[in-house]
Amino acid sequence: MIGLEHYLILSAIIFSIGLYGLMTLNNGIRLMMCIELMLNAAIINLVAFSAYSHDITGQVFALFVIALAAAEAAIGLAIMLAIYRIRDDIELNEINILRW
Amino acid sequence: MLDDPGKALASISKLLPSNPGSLLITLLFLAVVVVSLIGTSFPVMDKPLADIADPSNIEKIGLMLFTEHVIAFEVLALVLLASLIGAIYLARKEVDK
Amino acid sequence: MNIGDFAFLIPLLPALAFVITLFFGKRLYSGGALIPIGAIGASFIISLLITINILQNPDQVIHQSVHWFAIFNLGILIDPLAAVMLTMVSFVSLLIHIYAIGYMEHDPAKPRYFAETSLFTAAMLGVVLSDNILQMFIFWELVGLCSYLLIGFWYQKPSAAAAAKKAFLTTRVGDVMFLAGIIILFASLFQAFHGEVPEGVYLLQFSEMFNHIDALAAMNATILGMEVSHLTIIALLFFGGAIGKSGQFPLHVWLPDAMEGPTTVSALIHAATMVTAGVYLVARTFPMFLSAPDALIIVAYLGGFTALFAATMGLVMNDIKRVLAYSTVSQLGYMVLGLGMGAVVGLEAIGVSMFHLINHAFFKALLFLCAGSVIHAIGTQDMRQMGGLLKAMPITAGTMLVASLALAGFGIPGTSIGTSGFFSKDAIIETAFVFGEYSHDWIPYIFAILAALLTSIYIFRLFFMTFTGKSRNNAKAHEAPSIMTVPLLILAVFSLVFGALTLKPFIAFMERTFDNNVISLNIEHLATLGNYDLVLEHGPEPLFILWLPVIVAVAGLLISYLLYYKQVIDVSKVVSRENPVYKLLYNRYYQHKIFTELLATRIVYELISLSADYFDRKFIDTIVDGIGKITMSAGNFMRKIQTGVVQNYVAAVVAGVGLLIILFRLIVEVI
Repeated sequence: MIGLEHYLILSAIIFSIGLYGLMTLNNGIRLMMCIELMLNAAIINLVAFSAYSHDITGQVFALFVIALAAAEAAIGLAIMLAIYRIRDDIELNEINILRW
Repeated sequence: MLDDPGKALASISKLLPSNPGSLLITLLFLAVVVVSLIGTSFPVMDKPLADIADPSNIEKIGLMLFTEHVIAFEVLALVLLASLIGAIYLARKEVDK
Repeated sequence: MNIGDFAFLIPLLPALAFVITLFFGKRLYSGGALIPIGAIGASFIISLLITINILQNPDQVIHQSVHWFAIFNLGILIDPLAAVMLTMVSFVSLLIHIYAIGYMEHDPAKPRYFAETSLFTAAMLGVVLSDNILQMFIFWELVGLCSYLLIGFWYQKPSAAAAAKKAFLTTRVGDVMFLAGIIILFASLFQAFHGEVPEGVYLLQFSEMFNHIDALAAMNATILGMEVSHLTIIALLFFGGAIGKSGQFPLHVWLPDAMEGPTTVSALIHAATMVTAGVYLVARTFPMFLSAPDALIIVAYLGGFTALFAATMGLVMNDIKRVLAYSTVSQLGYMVLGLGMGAVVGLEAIGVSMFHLINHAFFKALLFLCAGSVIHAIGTQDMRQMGGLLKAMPITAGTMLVASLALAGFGIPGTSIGTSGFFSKDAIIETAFVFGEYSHDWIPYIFAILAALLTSIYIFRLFFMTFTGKSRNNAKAHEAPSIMTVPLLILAVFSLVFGALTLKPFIAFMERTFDNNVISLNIEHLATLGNYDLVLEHGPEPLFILWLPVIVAVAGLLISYLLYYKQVIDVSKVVSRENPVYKLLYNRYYQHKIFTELLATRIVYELISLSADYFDRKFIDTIVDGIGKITMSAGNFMRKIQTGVVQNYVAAVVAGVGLLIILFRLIVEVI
């Protein structure tokens, strides 16, 4: 039988995939996609809890998260555009003015 | 394949990540979360709701959205508005005098 | 209204004068000289009235004290000893201040001079009327400071600055011994009280100290295998302080160099007042010396040796002030010798020594002021360039003759005719004879007589070289202005008559110092503690012994007369670099070489200081710099964490969160 833990472990795996990508990738757009991945993993978590608790609040919360993810993606892409205009590439590892 | 060990090693090394530290941290994090999950007992039912095609789900969501969480709904609308304006501003063409 | 109520004004008025002159002196008439003179004059009048009061009833001494902190107090004690010192100090200081108005006429730094001498007078008066030894030490140090300031008055001259430094450091050696004595005294007294001092009892007051002499004598310490009583240690350490301040061997080296200061400073400080502070200290704590075995013998020997030693060096000096400086050291040796005679005559020794101190103040100040008058007129201090001043400066020559006769001790024994120096020096020499008679130790007596002979020779040498003969210089000598000659005449009068007037009553007066309403001691008991056999009544000396000092003085006059006036023998043959004895004396027994060059420069500086410096630089600095370097390299290493790339920060955050969760789980499980 599929229990709650399976959904939660799935969510954790997707989250860590997104996390690994966040820590490693150089390209800005790819980084945005990894952030989306992490958000979606959290949404899966929320919905799983909502299903197994027979409580609808989790799904309402999930709706909010989706909307927020969209807003954040919009802003993020606008920022990438601005960076591209200045530096002509979006290799985020090159932005290290605050280093030692 | 075995007569050229350099090429074999090179092809294998392409599979390894360029940043082993991050991989380690990620795996560590994953391990921690999974181990915590397995040990914990959540106060939930045994089975999810069986009927998937039940349209009252959407009804229930809509009801909840407009009664209990209406404030968050409105605020979210504002947030979306703000992000819209922000994205437009950040991404507009250069204004030259 | 008791005159004793004004006693606190005696040191206070000159101190106030110091402050006023220091700040406002420039704007006042003649460099602000009148305010110190007024203040010291007032102090003199108060001291004189107090002295007359105490003369009339000697067992009513003035004793006032206030609580200061812990178990110390501030107080005033005016007994016969203090009263005569106060009067002498303020009187001589007043005369020298008046003289200085004329002497320092052309000096631009007059306000500073008068301020500093005023402070000095205040400090010296403070030393005299302190009623506990801690307060005396504080004023003692202040006196040393003023001496430093005044010797280095013309500080632009490097020799003056060096002399001031030497004076301060040499007296400092004595002061350290004095302080050590105070500390050991305090510790011993505390022990005598078994750690609990009752309310209102101040440990370091003289009256308290003397009350516990028995207890102190009983305490013993073992030094280098010898059993020494605490009292002897304390007494000898106090005497160490006196050695420094009063210029006994070996700490006398600063006095001749102290002549770099103005002549009035030499007259005030190094003839009459500061150098007598050491003698005063020993006189003040005399009961302790009387109870300490062998302490007085050491005092006597050291004094006698210094008297002879300095007199030999005074013979060959060519600088007029240097001769007088060595003469001062020699006469101080006489005073210390007189104190040491207490081993046989008891308290009479204080009387004899203090009498010589006061007379010496008069004629030595007079000698210095006359020398100052000559220097003021001629412009040089070298006696080889003086001569024939008798006609040009009659008053100076006359007063200097009087002072020289006083110093050499001319007079007719058995009568009251004689200069004051005769009476006082004679008293010491006679006491030395009594000492020799009863303890069969003739060394102090021999030293005293030899020193008297040399004293006569060198002082008349000075007189003849300066005032008689052909004039060896071209300067137009003129007599000093009257503001300078009037003090000379006053001092000359005192040098002539003071001795004759006051010998016997003076000694009796001094003996009342330890027999009055504040301090009352049993002298015989103290003397038995110190294993001294006191001879309280001694018969008259044989006639020859009575006349011997006068014979010696006249012999010295004759020798100088023949050598320097008539020039019977050509002195220049003896006085030359070839003569080894002359070289020894002229180089002052190579003391400068030994003390400064060998001891200070080679041993202390090069051996100890430089090796300590090497150790410090190489070893300790390595450690200290090493700590700094380690910190910096650790910092350098740690800052590489800030790469500026956000993903690294994300990695750090996630790693931290994971670790936190693990730690939390572990702690929860353990607990």
